[in-house]
Amino acid sequence: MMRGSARFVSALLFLCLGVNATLPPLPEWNEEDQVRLKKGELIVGRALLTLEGDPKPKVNPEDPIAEPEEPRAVEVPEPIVPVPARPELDPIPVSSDRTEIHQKLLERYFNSRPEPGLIDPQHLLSMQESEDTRYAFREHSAESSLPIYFFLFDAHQKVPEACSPQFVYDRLFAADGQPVVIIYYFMGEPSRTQFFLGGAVGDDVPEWQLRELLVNASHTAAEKTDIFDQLDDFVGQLSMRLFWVEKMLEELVNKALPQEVKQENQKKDQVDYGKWFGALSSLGVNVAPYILVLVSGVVGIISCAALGFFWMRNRRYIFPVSDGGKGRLGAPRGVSSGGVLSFRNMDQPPSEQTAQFEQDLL
Amino acid sequence: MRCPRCTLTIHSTAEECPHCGLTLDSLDELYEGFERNVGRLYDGAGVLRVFERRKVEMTLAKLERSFPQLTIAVSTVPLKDEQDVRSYGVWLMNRGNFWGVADEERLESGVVLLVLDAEHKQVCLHFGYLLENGVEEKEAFEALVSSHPYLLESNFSTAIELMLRGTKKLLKRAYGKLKRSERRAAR
Repeated sequence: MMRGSARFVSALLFLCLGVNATLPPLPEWNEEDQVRLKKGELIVGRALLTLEGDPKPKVNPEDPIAEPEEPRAVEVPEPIVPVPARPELDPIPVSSDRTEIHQKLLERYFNSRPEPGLIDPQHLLSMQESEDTRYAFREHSAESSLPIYFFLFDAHQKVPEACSPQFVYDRLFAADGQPVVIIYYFMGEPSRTQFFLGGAVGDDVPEWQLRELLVNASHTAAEKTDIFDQLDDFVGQLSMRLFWVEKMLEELVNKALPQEVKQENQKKDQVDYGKWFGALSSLGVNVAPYILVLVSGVVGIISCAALGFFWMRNRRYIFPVSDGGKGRLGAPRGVSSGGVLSFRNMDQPPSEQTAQFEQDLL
Repeated sequence: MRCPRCTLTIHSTAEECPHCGLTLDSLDELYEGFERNVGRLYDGAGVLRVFERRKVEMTLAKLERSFPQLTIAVSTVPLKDEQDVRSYGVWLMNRGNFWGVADEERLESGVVLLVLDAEHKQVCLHFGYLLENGVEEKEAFEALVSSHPYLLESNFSTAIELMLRGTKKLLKRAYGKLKRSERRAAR
């Protein structure tokens, strides 16, 4: 076994040496090439990477079909023209003490009626923080009929008098008269928060309740040091407090809601309570008559069964009277009897006692 | 029909059994001294307790409400060797004074009597002329069969309840049969 392996290895070595012996010698660098290489005129392996090094195909003069190839057109890239540096958006100048809000920003805040939830045109929150806050407002709107318009400002910014929540409500929200909550929240300064409950209910809700709501939310937020945590806690507490206030003042809110909104809410409730009916209705099936027929049928069957049971229970069986056959064996009332059932012997079941009914042959 | 004593077939108009000479008068001699004044439930063998008797009496009252022409009675007795449950039932049905039955017509032909012989351990159902054409001997036997296990255990109260339930079904069937016969005869 060992001998066989040694023979195989030695044969492999001889084969390799034989192959090496047949290869051409490698080229050698001369000085001229080294100078060109240093200047960058010579690129190593260029012949392999470009067509320049590709040897031209040998043309057979005797072959009439073969024609020389036309030289290829080399595409020259257009020169890149430098563009002068210019910012994409016009920067909004910021005051040195960062208290004033620029007119352009005010327009973005209050120019038109925004969507309920977070309004942050200054992008004071990061994308993730903004998404988290919007999610919290979406959760609130799913459970509450009071939309919250949450305007976010920087810590020391001052909102002009002309843009106070009352004015904003009058300008943007008062037209439809629906109750809304407008909040101006200042990042890192929850105590500066401005709260306004608009709509007809706003006048009916006691002032102390709104103040308590605001103070509680602000205090909860102030317990945190991180400004986003403050905002998060403020929104959570606000939503919770608003929910209870809304519960307490549900009648007032419902009174203030327009008739269309009430009907819409009622429809929503109906769909929630009868998902199956809603699904059937969506298929175009009006289930009300079928349910009526079904209920009527069930009640009818139960009534019939009850009547039948009552009738059977109280039924009187009156036998037809016949005068014939009386007086047998001198008996005035009767002499008929059924078969005798014996229970003396446990091993003699009733099925074995039927021999008594066989007719005698007398 | 069969003779209640020798159980041989006799003619339906026979005034005495051609085989054994049985008449009702001969039965009077056989059962002389037996109680004649009985209620719907007569526990001569003393196999039922008080509350069991009440329960059976209630069942009998319900049955009689459904069959107002009938007097339905239950009797338990200890019979001697020369006596038997068939002949005793015929004798009691014809000679018994079932107190509490105001309507004489009900006694006249509408008696249904269940007799249980606690000595010979036998039970038999008797019925008057009113039901004679509606009930067959074997049907009356089958009405009692379901009580057999309870009779073996000497649970007489449950056994009697079951026998009365079977009797009710039997009477309903007899009612249908007699009604059909009546309609057929009317045609």
